[in-house]
Amino acid sequence: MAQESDRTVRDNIVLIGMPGVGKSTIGVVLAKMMNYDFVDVDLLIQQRMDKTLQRLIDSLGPDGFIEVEGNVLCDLAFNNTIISTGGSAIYSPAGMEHLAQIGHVVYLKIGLDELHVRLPEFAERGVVMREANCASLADLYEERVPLYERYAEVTVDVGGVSITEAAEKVIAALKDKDQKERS
Amino acid sequence: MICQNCGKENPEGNAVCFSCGEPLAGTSASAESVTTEQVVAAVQAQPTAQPTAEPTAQAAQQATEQPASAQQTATAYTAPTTGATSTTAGATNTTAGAAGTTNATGAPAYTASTQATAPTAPAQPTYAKGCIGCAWDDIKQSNGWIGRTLLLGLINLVPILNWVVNGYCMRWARQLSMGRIESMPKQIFGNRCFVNGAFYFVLSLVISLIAGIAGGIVGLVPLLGWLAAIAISVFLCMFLNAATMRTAIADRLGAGFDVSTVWNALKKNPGSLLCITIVPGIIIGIIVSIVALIILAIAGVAMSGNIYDLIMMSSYYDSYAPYDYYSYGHHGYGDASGLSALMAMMGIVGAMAPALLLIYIITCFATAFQTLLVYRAMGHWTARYASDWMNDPSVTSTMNMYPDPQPVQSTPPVQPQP
Repeated sequence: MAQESDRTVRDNIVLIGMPGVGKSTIGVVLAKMMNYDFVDVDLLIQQRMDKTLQRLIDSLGPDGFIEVEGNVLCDLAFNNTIISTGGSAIYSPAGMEHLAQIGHVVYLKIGLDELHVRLPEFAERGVVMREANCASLADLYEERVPLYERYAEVTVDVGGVSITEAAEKVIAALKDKDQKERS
Repeated sequence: MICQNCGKENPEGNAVCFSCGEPLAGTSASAESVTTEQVVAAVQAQPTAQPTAEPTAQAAQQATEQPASAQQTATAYTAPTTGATSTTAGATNTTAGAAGTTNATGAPAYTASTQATAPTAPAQPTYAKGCIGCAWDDIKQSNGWIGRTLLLGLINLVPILNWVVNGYCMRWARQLSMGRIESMPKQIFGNRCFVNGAFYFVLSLVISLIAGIAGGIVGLVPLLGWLAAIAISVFLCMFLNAATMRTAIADRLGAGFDVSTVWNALKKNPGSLLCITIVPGIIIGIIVSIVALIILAIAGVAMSGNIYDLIMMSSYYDSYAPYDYYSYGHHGYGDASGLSALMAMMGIVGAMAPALLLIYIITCFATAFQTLLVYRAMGHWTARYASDWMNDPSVTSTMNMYPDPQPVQSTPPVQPQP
């Protein structure tokens, strides 16, 4: 019974990864391929709080924003949905635990060099650095990758591939995982 | 065109939302007919990325340690109802999509091709707004920017002390490369503003000397040489701007003299850098000139009577005292004319003085505003095209020796609803 309920509950796919890796873009295409719905958590937060993310950071501060994000993650209740999280979702253990309960967490992995190419406007994206020792994309990458790897059930390298190919790799990886679990 | 599902604004011509993949209302697309290629094409044609907020781990740790009652709790969000219709009709789409071979027959035209494999994202993104436009927005959105700009303009009048103005602009501009988007700092003095202004003074002195020598040499050739001298000056102004930003980010004078690194960054987008260097000055100069002309015209009208009096008095004097103005017999006429002339002059000064003072204040404001605009635009340019500087140890090793003070939160945290 627990296994059945576990199988029926975990019918979502949660995408985590660095900002700029393409969680939203790959998620949209993935949703179309798998005939799932698509939800962007950042968009949810903005709709719920009626403010842009930058305004939320400005008014609540990074601490407050992380707490709001964690609350939103903990309240997610979907079926057959691709959930694209924000890059800072991993800072909320409760939120990540809930996501793991409702879906399969997929880490979209990319190298730092390619991230630099994809994200030259890194500073323009409004990434707020509260600490003086985390001032570059490399620092952020070094800080977050261990967290992504900790929460990931499936890791898919999406470096150097197109959006469609990345989505196909995700589907293939999930199928492999499913087959391994069954066997 | 706004997507009714997610609220994102889509470019005209899209039939599928780039954000959620749902068909847009008012188009011929439907949930059943939309193919994977159409979704990929819409995603490829999406506008530039919006800023996202990305706190760091230390902020996360502090957030978890605090009581969990500080923020509003979001209620459960259920999946949109459109999922039901797409599920029932999507079986064939799922299998075809997985193989990546869905045909896009009868699909509306998009910017991308209808091949099964979508092209990779371009390495250099396009920006919705230029550096100057972004800088303009940053200034306008800062509380009290008019008063602060005017104060900077007045400080600019004092030699040596006016280094603070450049330093202030440099410290604000450098924040963009460090990933901080904040309003104009309230603190003008302090925060290494004077020191950075001194850095700029040295940099500009050296580069001006080079420009002067090089321009003087090539300027010896008539016409072409003069044009070359102008080109050299403009180029070195561009170089100065980039070097100043590197100095500002590193908070170290020597960083700006790393010629090869600055040159490599300059090559990435010289067009934008050229615009930043010359356009604000030209536009602001034209505006200030027009305003000054209008003010002088109004003052001219105000003192026109006095000018007329002066002219008439000199004509009268010429007509009625033609022989030896200082002769003994004409003292009476001289005294009356002198007093009237003095009064007329006072009238002119009385009209001109406020006009000149107003023009002076406007010029101070405009000069400071131009400095702010150029530096902030340079901050955006550096963040976009010279972001590799943030991985350079020669920059990052000294960058935070004197960190900026953290901004004070403008509003208290949201209290949880009962």
